[in-house]
Amino acid sequence: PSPFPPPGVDFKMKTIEVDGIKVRIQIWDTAGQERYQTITKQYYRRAQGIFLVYDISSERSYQHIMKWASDVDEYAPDGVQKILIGNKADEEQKRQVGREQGLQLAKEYGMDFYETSACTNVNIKESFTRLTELVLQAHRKELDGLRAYAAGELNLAELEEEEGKPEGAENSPKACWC
Amino acid sequence: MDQSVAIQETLADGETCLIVVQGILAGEESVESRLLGLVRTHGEHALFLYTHRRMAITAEDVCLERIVPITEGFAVEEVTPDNDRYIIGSDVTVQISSEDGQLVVQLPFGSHTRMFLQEISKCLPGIVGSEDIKQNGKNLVVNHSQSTNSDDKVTLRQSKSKTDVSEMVRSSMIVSDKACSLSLQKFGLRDTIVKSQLVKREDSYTSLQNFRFFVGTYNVNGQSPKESLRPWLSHGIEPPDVYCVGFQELDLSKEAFFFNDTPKEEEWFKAVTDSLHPDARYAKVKLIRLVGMMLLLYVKADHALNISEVEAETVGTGIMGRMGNKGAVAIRFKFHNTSVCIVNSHLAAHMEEYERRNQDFKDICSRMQFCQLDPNLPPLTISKHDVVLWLGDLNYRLEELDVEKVKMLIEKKAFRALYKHDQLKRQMDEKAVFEGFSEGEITFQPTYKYDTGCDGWDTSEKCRAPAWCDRILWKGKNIFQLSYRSHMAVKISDHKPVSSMFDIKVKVVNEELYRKAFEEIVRSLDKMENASIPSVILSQREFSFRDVKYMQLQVKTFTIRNEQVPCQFEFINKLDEDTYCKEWLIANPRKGFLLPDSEMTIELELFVNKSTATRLNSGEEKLEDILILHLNEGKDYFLSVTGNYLPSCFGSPIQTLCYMREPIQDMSAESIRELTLLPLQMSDDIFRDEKPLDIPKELWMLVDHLYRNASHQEDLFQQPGLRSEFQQIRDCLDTGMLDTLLGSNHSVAEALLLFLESLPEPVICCHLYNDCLHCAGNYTLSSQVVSRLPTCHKNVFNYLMAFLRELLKNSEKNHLDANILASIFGGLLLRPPPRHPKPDVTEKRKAQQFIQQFLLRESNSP
Ligand SMILES: Nc1nc2c(ncn2[C@@H]2O[C@H](COP(=O)(O)OP(=O)(O)OP(=O)(O)O)[C@@H](O)[C@H]2O)c(=O)[nH]1
Ligand SMILES: [Mg+2]
Repeated sequence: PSPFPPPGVDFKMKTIEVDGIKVRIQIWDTAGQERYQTITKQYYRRAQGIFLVYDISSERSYQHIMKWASDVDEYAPDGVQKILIGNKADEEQKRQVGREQGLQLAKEYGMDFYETSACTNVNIKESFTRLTELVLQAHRKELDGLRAYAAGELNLAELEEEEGKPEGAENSPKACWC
Repeated sequence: MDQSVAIQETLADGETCLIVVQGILAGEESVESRLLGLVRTHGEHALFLYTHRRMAITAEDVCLERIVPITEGFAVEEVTPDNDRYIIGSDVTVQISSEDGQLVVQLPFGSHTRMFLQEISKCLPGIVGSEDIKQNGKNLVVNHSQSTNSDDKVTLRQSKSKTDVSEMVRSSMIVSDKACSLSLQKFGLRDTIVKSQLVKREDSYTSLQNFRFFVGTYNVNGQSPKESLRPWLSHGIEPPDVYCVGFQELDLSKEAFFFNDTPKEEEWFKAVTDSLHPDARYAKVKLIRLVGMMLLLYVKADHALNISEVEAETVGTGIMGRMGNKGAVAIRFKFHNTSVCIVNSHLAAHMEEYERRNQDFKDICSRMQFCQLDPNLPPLTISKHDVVLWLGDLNYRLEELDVEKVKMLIEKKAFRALYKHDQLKRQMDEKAVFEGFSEGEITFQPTYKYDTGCDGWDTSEKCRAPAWCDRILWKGKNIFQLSYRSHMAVKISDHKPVSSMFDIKVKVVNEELYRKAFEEIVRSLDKMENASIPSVILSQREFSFRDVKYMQLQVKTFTIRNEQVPCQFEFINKLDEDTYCKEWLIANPRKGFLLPDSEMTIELELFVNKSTATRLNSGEEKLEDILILHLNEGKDYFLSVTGNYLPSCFGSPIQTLCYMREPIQDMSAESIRELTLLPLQMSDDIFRDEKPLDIPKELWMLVDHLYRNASHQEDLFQQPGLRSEFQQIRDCLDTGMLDTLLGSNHSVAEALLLFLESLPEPVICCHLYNDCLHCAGNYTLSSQVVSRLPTCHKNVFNYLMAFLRELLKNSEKNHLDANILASIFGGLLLRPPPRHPKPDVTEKRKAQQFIQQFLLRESNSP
């Protein structure tokens, strides 16, 4: 099997602890390629939290966030929590998108912002924890007390902006945090 | 002992007792025990208070006294009682207020109480989120009042503590409370796994640290504490970290025996408390008593935080094997990460009864069971602890020596010689009792039996031989005895108190390493779980169909190879669509089930027929689709299907074809699109520079071919042609590669029928369908309807009628008759408008009748 997951919606479970509460997260990693966009949209409907991911070494992927954001606005439920991620923070020498640009965009959308690296594991845990926190906060009133808190499963959809390169074009090791 | 069973028995259907705790109800003068049950009825909660027998086992042992509903205005607050003797103790005293009054209840220290309070706090109506529960480590007990002051609402109203000690111990509860909230059964099995993994990895996140334990035992022979206990408990030693102090024969009265009630408990508790080492502050962790056996556990106040999971139990082995005049009381707890069990036992008396004592020991070991926080786990027994400290009046005697001989050896301090006659030593050597336990060397004279108030041996009538009745043993790793001695200066009883100091290496948790181990375990569990999410490997996920032609099936296959988990797959519908793929595509099979490591071949069949051809010709639709292959409870895979369609006269409108002087495949995509989308012209007005053909050249070729070759053909239009020949005919029409059509007459005839069938607008336009049926049988009217057709349709109609009449002229040869032809062509030339119900027999008859009129008239020839 190829090291790249085939396009589609990958589905993983993750358990993290937020403020002493164990939370089970269902992660949906949707294909980023443009031609699948009409289909991936339907997955937003069930999301409680969304990562919008661009690649700091690709100006184009950064530009594309706008499109993702408007899709999310249109299809995701009200009150969905969003975080902007600039990934590949380890590729400093190839950087095309400044940190400030990321911050700026996040500010415009009222989102939190992290620069992460799936390769060196920077800010991965932090961003997951943060998004979970946001979702918990947003759902506080609906959930009934501590019991429900810990039992409730969250659905975080992960939207990754992709580079437009055919798969396998890059050789860097695949994300290793999940 | 789980007393909720007894309470549950008293409840009605639909009422559930969630948890029970035994508490002391503080009245004006007296203190009385109550069982407090948290009961749920149809989503509402209440506290049920019961009076009860000592150990409530069935409903008969309890009596409902009062119900306190948990509604608005209900509050539980922690208070510090005025009574001095509780200063050191760490039992929790709470005040329960409700609409109909207040109660003050003292609850035992320990995990069970924590759970109980936690359960209550969950039942408070409209409980706030966890944020508030954690923010302030203290509000374990949440005050829920309707106060308008928001601060007031969620903060714990804790009365000022009198000393730091009790404060410390309380916060210890809260710390472990957090740990416990993590491990409540919300995650069920998963938690149990995490826990057992944590135990396995304990070495990786704990280190050993020395703590000093004082262990003391004293048979007080029913006396009261007349002297200070300091010589026993604190003289000449450094302040220990932990005190375990056990008594036997605290009260020999009948009241104590039958009702387990004695004022001595207070007296001795106070005496011990007052005699603890003065250089340190101690907190009482637990007091447990069964008739005359009492065990007290104290820790240095600084350690209170590190004590958790405290449980206490009793076992009676006295008369009838059950009563509490003999037996044991025990306290178990966790100190840091080391589990400790302290047992205080009073075994059967009398010289000859050593086997009975052995049996008592065994009974205590098997019957002493502590309940666990996690109800999935079996109860804990004594032997399951890292450290067991066993003290008490074990009552083993010196055998084979007469009294005088014993006293003589004692005189000479020949304790080793004497020890050889010790029953306990002999029984242990024979492995008949205390297996796995150790005892230090005895370097003190026997602690039994003295005349009370002095150091002289028993002078009573019975004149008991001296014996080492009072003993301290241990079991477990990393336990080092520092001293083992008696205290002759204490003269309250006919026994002397015994003490032992231990250095015990306790497993102390390194928080950071613990966290790491914990996270690793959780991660590996996640990993395992993710590995059990169904997942398959697709041999191919992009499918490109090249040069797709009208009515020519193309099939591509791929395999779904399942990985480790049995899975159900299905192509699922896309958002807002009620099909899983476009009309021209079929996946076969659409769903299925795969065992691990098995595979299945899926066929993707692409077939363009009349209902999809037109839009593909015009380019309004493309051969592009994405299929979602969904695994039940697993991933979704996207399959992308693309292809190019070769436009065809089949599926093209008559008018479009009339404007095409060249074969359709020589035309540019734009002009095909333009011509296909051209609105149907009703008159002869020429919109375009070029005059259209009268009829489509493709139709002419088909008809002309049949006219010239098939007028004598039998079974024309009734016998099917060959698929391959149809394909040649279609290609010939669409590419204009050949001037003449190849293939048998039947194939050409079938192609003609298919051509008519594939017309998006039938020859008799849909909107005239009903008119035609109405006037079927009236030739004049029928002709009028035909004249209302757009020119090219009218031409085609007349042309076809002329051709069919021509065929009928040869009916002797070809055996065709008007009836047959009219019924074949009626259904093709007259088609109902969309959404019109499918034509029934009457409609079909009328369509046939309509056509038949034209076949029987010689006029109107083209
Ligand atoms: N240097 C570096 N490379 C990364 C990082 N994260 C991902 N990559 C690489 O980037 C490439 C694309 O990663 P994917 O995870 O497939 O990207 P994606 O956005 O999920 O792509 P689609 O699923 O097709 O939308 C792979 O070669 C990864 O190894 C990172 O943090 N640093
Ligand atoms: Mg991806």
